[in-house]
Amino acid sequence: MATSLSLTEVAALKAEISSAKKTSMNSVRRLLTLMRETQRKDAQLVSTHGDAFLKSSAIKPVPDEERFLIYEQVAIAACECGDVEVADRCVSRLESRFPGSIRAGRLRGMVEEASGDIDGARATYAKLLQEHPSSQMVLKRMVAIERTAGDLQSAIKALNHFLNHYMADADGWAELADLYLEAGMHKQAAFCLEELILIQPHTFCHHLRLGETLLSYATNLEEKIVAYKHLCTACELCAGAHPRVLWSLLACVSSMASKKAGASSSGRGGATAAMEEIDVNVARLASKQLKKLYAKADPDLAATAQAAVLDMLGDIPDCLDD
Amino acid sequence: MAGKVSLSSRAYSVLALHALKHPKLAVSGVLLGRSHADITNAVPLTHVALALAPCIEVALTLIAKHAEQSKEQIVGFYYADARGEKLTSVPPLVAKLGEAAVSAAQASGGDASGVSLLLLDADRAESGATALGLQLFVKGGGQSWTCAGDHSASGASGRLSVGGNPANLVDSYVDENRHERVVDFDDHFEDVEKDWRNAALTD
Repeated sequence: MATSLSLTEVAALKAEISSAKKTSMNSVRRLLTLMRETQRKDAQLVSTHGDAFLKSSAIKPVPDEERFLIYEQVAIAACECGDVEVADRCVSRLESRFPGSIRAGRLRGMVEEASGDIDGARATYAKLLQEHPSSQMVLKRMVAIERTAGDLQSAIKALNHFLNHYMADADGWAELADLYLEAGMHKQAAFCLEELILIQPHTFCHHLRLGETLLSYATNLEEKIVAYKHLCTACELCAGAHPRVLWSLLACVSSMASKKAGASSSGRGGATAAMEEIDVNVARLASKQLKKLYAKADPDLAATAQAAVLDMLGDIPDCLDD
Repeated sequence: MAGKVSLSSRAYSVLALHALKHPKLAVSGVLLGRSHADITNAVPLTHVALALAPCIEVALTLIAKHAEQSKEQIVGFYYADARGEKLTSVPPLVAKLGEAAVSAAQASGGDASGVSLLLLDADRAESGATALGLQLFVKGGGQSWTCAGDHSASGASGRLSVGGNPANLVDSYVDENRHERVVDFDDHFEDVEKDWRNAALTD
């Protein structure tokens, strides 16, 4: 769990290690441990200093369980920043200690990916899947490898296959939503985000992302109302403290009811119908909150923001806090 | 529209540093200038949420308002793909951004014809080659974006020219870790105290 205390310590250690002339191996070991616990990433730092740690005498007293976790951690970091030689060395060590291990096998595949040998990696994962056909770890690599190879459609197919078996995997739904958004398939992304919300209903950024996704393709009022509801939920869940939520909410209200944003004044789905769905108090509160947040920002930026809000909501009755 | 497009050193530095800050992600941003032929500044837009329209539109509104103050307008945008390969055509999401930039320009009374799209091949930019890895796409008379040439080492003969000695400049900025300081709208919408104008970035 990433507590604020541990994150502060991570930041302090990072600063110390980056600036020190002679790096303290104790600090490196502590940082590596904290980064595993808090799931923070800093690939270059971990790869460079982790590798130095593993080569130093400081590794000797480290108990086996921790030692091999460090090898894995450094291997993954090294793959991420292309330090293939470092990664290869770490993985070889793990393979010799744990022959036939699927965890080591997956790391071997990642090294192959990092060195550009996509076909080799595919073969490695395929072989692992033969022995362990339901391995979540390997199934996820099958998705990642398609993304590495730039084949968005294959990645989507592979991830759909994974989610058919593991439909409660929140990360999987979030990743699939990302893939669909990258492919410009907003409706499908919205479906994934809805599944994600079923699993994690109190996470504000899921509601925010769904609201923004819906708004990105909504053409009629009904669709925009759903977006509006999710953005209101996001606002409630983050206690109105997040700028992106506030801006998205104002953009939604503007899109529904402002003539400037193209809402027609009459007819089904027009601005008048929209006004019955929107609670003006919500819009007023959101714009007031935004003003409060911008009070801490540069005055020029605050003024520009204020002008933009006026543009967006100015012609909607009672929406602005004056 | 066979005119030349010149990109200032500042504009190039901003977009290159933005791409270098997020090497594994696709980044996008807006180009500002006095006219479409004279690009003087760049404003980083996204490194995550290119597909989400509402905040992009808010960002374009904020940029357009800010640009008015220095008599500039939105004249184009830049994009660097996550995979750092040379793109041969404009990806659909990016084309959509182009349309939004064109509308934003029109809405603030600017000249929307000849809006430029610069595609950056970040791998080439990082290696500090004299060819900066930039390709210029323009909207012809029709609906699609067509390549109007790359920036080549013999810049003067191409349609795109870049001021100063930008590759060396960016290299020195990276040595000072300036790329870590780039603020885009995705950052700003997380924390409004982060300044998307990046004024001090190229001091």
